[in-house]
Amino acid sequence: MSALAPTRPVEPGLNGRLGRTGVPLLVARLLLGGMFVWMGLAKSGYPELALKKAGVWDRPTVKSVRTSGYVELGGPVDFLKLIREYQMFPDAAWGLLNFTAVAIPWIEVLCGLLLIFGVGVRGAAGLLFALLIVFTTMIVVRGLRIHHADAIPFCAVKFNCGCGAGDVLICRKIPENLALAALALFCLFSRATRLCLRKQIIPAAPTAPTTA
Amino acid sequence: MSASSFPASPRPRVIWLHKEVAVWSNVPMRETKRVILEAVLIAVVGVVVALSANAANPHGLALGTDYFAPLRAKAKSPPASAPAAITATQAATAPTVTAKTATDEAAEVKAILERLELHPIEHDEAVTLFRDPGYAQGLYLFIDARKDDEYQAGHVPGALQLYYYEEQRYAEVAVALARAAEKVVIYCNGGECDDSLLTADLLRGKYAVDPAKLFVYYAGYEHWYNAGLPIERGACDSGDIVEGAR
Repeated sequence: MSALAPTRPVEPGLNGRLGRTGVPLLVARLLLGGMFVWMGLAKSGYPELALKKAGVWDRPTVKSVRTSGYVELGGPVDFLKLIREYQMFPDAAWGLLNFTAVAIPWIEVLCGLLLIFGVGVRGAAGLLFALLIVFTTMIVVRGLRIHHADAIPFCAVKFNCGCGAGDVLICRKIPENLALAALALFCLFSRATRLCLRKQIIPAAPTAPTTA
Repeated sequence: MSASSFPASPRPRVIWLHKEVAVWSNVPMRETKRVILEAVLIAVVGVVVALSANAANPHGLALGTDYFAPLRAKAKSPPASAPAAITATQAATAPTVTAKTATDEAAEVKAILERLELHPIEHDEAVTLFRDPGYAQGLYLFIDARKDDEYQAGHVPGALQLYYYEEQRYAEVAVALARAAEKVVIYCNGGECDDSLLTADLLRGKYAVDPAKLFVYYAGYEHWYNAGLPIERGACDSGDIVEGAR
């Protein structure tokens, strides 16, 4: 490095010394990406198809995992039934409901993979953040609806949110989603480019120097 | 130097990073637009992947099919006795854990069946039909409206599978036998499950099976199993019959 090169300012926050190493971003990418690949695939129906094709679907180990309550493998029909329960579309928009059931899992998988490999990180993180805000809002609205309709404590409300993990307590799911949203924000705001294959898919426009 | 773009070379990176991060609200619109465009591009690619994956999936959705039309169509004209605020859809999708009693739930399901003009059948009546010699002769037919895994894990012995969402796979045999039978008992898991209602409506509407002989066993398979009644594992008439849990 030339002697005239500017010295790095010591900057607090996510782009400080540690942030610039790319390690925190890598950890956040792997966590967030891994979660979404898992959650997306669980709803896509393909793990089930693959496990059945491999003839291991009914093996005790596989069976114990899929009935553990931590993973719920399902297909597009299962996801369609689950998202219908949110009543987010008017009756006439049944096509949109079908489309959402098909599209969401694969958008999640794609965003997750892009984050893991460090491709288009900010776009993928921004998209996941937007999805998480929508999902969380829908979960809260549905939770409140059940809370009022059935007169049970809000934190005792439990339902299958369509997140790929089976039945969840709403008061556990909301903090989980907020934590994921925070990770997505971190990925969105972090400037580190190390340990990313291609951080930008759409390259930034070249800018002319403004200083003399 | 402008702070509008991502660093292109190592030297100016330090300055640009500092400016962009220190005051995020001053991040120029050009960068925001780029991120939004990137997100849109990813979403579009995701949709293309999703549509391809759905087309290749043997259990994929038929995007042009309004799966829940029967429930909605009937729900538009609730009888005066039913609470107007609860639609068939809402009631059928009750939460997994609620303070409702089983009696409340049964009453709700019965109200939905009434609205859909379908006949409910009580647990004891279903058991009577199952034990009747006519069941073995095909006079009475049980139809399991659940998906493959659930059916394979256990079903009412001799029950045929007819999964509403993939009805073409099962309809030929099930419809032929349903037309020949005197009574057809349709069930799914019970509780909030509405696949038995949809299947009954399918048989009544698309396949013109006489609605007078269609009965929805709304207590469902879980109730059957928990009552310790026999269940059959694997395919229909596999002979692998065990007792349910008490």
